Amino acid sequence: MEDFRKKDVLSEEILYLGTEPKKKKPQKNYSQEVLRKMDKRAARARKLFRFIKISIATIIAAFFAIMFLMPIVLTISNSFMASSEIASNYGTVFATNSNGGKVYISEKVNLKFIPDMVSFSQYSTVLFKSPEYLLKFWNSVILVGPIVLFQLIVATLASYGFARYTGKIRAIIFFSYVILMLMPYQVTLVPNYLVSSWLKILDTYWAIWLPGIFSPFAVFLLTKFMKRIPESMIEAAQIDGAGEWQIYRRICLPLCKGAICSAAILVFIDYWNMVEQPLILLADGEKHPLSVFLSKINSGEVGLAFAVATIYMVPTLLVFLYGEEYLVDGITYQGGVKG
Amino acid sequence: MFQKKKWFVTGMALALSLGLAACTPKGADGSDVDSKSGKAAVEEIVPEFTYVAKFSSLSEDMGNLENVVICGEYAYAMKYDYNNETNSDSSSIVKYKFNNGKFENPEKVLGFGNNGYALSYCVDEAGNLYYVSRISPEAPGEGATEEQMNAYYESLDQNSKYHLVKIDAQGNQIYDVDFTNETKKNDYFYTNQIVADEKGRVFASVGGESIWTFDENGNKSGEISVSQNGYINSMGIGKDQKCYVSYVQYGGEGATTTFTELDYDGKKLGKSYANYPSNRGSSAFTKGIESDILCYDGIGVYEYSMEKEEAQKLLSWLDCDVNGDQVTAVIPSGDGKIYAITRDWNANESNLIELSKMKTEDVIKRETVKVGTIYQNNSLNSKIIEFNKNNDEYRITVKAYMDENDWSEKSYQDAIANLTNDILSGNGPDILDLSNLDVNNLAKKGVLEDLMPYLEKSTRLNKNDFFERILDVATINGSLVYLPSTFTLSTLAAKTSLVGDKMGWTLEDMMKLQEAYPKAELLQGATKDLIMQMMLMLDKEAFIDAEKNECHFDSQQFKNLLKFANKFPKEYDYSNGYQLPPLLLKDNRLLLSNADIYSFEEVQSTLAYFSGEQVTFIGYPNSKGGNGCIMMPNEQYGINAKSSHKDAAWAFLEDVIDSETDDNGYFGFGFSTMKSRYEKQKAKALDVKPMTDENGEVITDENGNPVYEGVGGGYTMVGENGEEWNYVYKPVTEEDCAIVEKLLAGATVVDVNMDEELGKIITEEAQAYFDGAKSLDDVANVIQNRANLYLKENN
Amino acid sequence: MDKKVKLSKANTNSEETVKKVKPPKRNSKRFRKLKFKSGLFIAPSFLGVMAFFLIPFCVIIYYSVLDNPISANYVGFENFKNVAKNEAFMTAVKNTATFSAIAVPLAVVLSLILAMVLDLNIPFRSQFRTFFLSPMMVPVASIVLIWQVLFHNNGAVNDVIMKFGADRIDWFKSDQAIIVIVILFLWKNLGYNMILFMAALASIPKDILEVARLESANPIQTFFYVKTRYLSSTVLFVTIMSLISSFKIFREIYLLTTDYPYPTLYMLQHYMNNKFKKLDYQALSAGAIMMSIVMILIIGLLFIVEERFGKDVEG
Repeated sequence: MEDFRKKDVLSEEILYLGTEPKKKKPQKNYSQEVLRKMDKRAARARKLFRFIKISIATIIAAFFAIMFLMPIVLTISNSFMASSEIASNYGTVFATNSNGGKVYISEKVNLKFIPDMVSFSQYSTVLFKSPEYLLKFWNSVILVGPIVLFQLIVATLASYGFARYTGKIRAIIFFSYVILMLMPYQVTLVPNYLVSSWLKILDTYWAIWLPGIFSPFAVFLLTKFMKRIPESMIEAAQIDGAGEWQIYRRICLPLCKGAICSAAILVFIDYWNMVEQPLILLADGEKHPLSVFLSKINSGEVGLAFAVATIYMVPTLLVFLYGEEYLVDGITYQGGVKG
Repeated sequence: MFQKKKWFVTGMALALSLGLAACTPKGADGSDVDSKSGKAAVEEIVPEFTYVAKFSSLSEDMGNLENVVICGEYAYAMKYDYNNETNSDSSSIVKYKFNNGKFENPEKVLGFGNNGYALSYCVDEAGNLYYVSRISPEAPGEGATEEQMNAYYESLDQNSKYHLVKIDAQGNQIYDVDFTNETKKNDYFYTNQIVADEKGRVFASVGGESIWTFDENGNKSGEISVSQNGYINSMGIGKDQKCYVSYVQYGGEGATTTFTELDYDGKKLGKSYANYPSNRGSSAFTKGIESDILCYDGIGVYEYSMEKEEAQKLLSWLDCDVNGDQVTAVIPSGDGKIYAITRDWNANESNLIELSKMKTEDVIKRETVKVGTIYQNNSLNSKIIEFNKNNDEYRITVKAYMDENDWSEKSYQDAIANLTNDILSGNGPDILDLSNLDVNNLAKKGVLEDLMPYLEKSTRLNKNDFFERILDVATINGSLVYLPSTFTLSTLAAKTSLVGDKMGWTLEDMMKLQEAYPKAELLQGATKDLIMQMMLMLDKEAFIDAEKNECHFDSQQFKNLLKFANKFPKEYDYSNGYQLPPLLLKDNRLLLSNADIYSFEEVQSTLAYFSGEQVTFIGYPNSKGGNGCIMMPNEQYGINAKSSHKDAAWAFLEDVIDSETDDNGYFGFGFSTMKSRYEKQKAKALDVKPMTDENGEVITDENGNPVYEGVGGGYTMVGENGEEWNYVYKPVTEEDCAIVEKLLAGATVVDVNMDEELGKIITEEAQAYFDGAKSLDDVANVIQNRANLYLKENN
Repeated sequence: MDKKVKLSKANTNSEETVKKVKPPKRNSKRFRKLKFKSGLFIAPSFLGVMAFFLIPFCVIIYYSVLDNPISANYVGFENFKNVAKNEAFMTAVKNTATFSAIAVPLAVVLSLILAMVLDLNIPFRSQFRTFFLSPMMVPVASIVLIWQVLFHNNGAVNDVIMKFGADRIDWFKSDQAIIVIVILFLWKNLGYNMILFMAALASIPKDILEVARLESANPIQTFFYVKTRYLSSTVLFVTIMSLISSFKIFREIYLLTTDYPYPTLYMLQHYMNNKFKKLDYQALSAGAIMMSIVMILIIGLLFIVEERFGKDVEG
């Protein structure tokens, strides 16, 4: 048997036609009937085995699925509880004692899945009576939207550039992109503040948009995918007279759709959840996004926290649903492009 | 399937956006409304116009102007006069010609004698004057007996009559209706505001909860009930001559202010308008200049358009150097100017302020100095206003870092983070209000400028005049980082027979005391948490070795402390009612008494609790054996070392510290940090003489104790079960003053930040032990671990 | 020229092989033109990154050699020495390293296993996919609440443990605290990693697998010798993403335990956060730079490994 480890798996011809099958164990001499029966039994056994394998897999998957879903279900179901119920149930978890520290939870606090009494009071308060939550919601949208859009534009351009030509300098630049990406926010916050203050964009949305748009994150994600586009396709397009821009627009972008969507989703989630940057760079509380508000829940407002959290989750959910197909199919396309 | 899903998602997204957009209120000119505070969140861009204030004081006889109403060229005001000779007061409504900011030609429209006064009045467009008056029967004259006087006072309510009177512009009375019968339903009738619409119908706000309506002839025609859970803020007439009311309602999220029309015919509240500019409980409004309503409160003046339901801030009092809390009336005048009347109750003076609109660029700019503080602070604000008014070179502005609507711990942390950022990036304030900051840390980092050179060069303040202890405490790493103007002391006191006569003791001593008297309460109101906090405040040296940067929270000593604290109740049991401390102290049922000393009289009253027994100010326990007294400096302001306006900042600081005391000896809060003034305070405290009557005999109060000027005679405490204790005021003695000085000499300042962090860790973990969920050793270990981490991080 | 250069996907399956074209000579004019043009594409991103990431990083380096951000005296390597010696810093480093060393491999391996499980054509596959992605949507505050309630000394998990007769553990205050955080991290990140692996698995050309099967290689051999090659770049990718996420977990820890948690939970970012609050910016910067150096080493290593291992696959 050929040792296919050493085989060049991207070889131009598929070699299997020429290989020899593994020698089977010599079979006993059975009659045709018996053989057929054995085959059938074997077939059934294999089917059974397969069935068991799949059921176990399904169970494992289901188990994990439940674990993963639980908090979301909890959040949504709790959002239908009345404020008083939440306070009595979870009050101690969020309470702070006299000097601002946490209160020790002395009684058992249990997670409640089913509200005693379904009430829309949380939603009505959030939507109608205290519209500043909605205002913050729109702030979040205003903050995150442009970042996602423009970061992807800038990033696709850049990753195309990286993919098309790899030189030493490029590699170093790319590498530094990765390192810069990993810096935690405490480190970059004050310098960002300084830079924003020099550019006089402090306390405006630009202070958050600009660092977000130029974040190396999406570049990192997309370069990988761009690199997989075979040189040959690009050559073919060049032969047909396409310029770089054409190649970018007509070939690479469509092929990377999946990756772009995937990147968009990740960037969206990342910035939808950002808390510290708006706090420092946007001094005006009116401009703060919803994520900042959610992180500030104190015991007085726990009751609304769940409804706000649900509303907060909805855009992410929509983005997911919208882009999910792209996510997986697109990445699969990528695989198909190869070879 | 995929396509369907896409459309579904897109559809949902659209629906969601539309729905939410509909629910979000938005101001048309881009100023979004923060409806929680009800205040229009106005953009703080530099406006094209600002208002510049010109001050003029109102003369003495105009000093008691209240309830000023403008009608055309006339201004009406209610004047209260007190006739010293006849010992009677009278009130009158006076009409002035109001011209160019001056009140001229006073003309008395009507007056009341001793037996009546106008509860409130208003003037309509046509010049008709309406008022509600209360007429009481004549008081018994001189020589009336006390019983007669008492009887008179008691019958006042029943026998007073209430009238609604209308007088036209020429002074003729149109009607005078006695509606006393209507008032019988209420326990006590009071109206503090009336308005009349163009039809001559009157609305009166009664008791802050309902509005009575009166028809064209002055007869009561109905009642409008306004607010169950709140009160009526103010009423007024809009540009359209209709009557409106703004009322406050308490709700789940705090108080909200609503502005509605008054519907006379329907006897109810009419249409309400959103985005009323002010959510402060004491705002008022009047007819606007350009828009419908001009609204004002302690923060500023706003214009409000009912049609567009939008508010616009015209000016903020602070920016105009006016103390917003002192404003009693705001009068827009036809020529675009706004007049305001302020009354300073302490100084007993009134000012008329003329606010004219000027182009911002034309206003003369002074050098701006910024003060940074965590919490908004009225005393700071009034000092700033004073300074700005009197200083031509510099102008002080304030930035408060704390979000006013959110008082949580996290919000406080955010405020600190923002301030830190500003300082780090060079945008920090020029002056820092240190009262909530970690002074030690800031000093170590060199953030604070050394004030000593300024102090030495100063012509108003003298370095040697300050108490050494004060300067000592405020000097960190060799530089003087702040200069307080006053200080207060806090300590504990106990009977000498119990604790000996030495000031200062350790934790062990205190625990031994409790053991000696197991049934007694150590300190009133003591709970587990309180004891823990108290012990850690001064005695952290017992557990933390600062030199070696180690802590010993797993030591037996700390465990003893935890056990000790555990003996106290989790929450104080007030079910037996308030027990009178003096009585408890006497029987040794209470061992220690709080002594918070902010004036010399406090020493007396602390001592008095012990009913004459010898007292030692034993202080909070500390392991160094110091005198255990805590000193709390007030007005801690420091100057930012990176500031480019240091001289201006020092000018302000000087002002704050040197603020002149007035003749009444109003020193502000606490003891002065300067020896010269401290001596003055002392002299004044010692110099209290008993009041004497015309014959030189000492006046005594009902208990036979002499009454002292400005202070009184004494008081009686009555407990829940009827027990009594008399406090007799004795004048301050030299010994009392000596005690203050002795306490100051050994006092320490609490290290805010370290204690805060450690305190948080310890309190959080200790609770597990207190609740019985964890063992003592476990908890001590956890505390040790975490505290150790804290120390190591900050070596 | 036909403007619409549309390549139908049908042309690109693995059956049709495309001849590899030789790359143009390095010094040819075309090459330089290519370099220049592709450089243009990178330009906007590069400028932005310079302005908002590189310059701040230089500022950090600047701060790290000062004694104090206010007085700005140059002290050279003093800060680095101090920080490195600081016990709290060492604890933080140890914890962060331990956490990453446990959590990241777990995240990668577990998600790969799960991906393979899901690859077996179980029913409801796409629904499961959605469910697994759901943890990414939940806001931090809700997660914190739930984790607190579960793992508190009086919480649900302890209930279960006690039923089995063991002593209850105060999870957040004990040496086992790291387990809770690892679970949190896994919960958050398994989903996305799994999707990536599923996609990668699906993209392995079927014919190679056919080859393997016909060669009678058993599943284990198939996995180790074939699949890993194709998965290697995804593995690197997932590792880096998980590494990034493992830093982000700081926010959850902070909300669960405040500034000074039990030492086993004290991460590098706690140290940095506290230093920031105390205006000790020089220590913060020194720590950050040391961290970056370590990052550079680790990631550099990963890049090299991926390069060598997956070279033939990448092409």
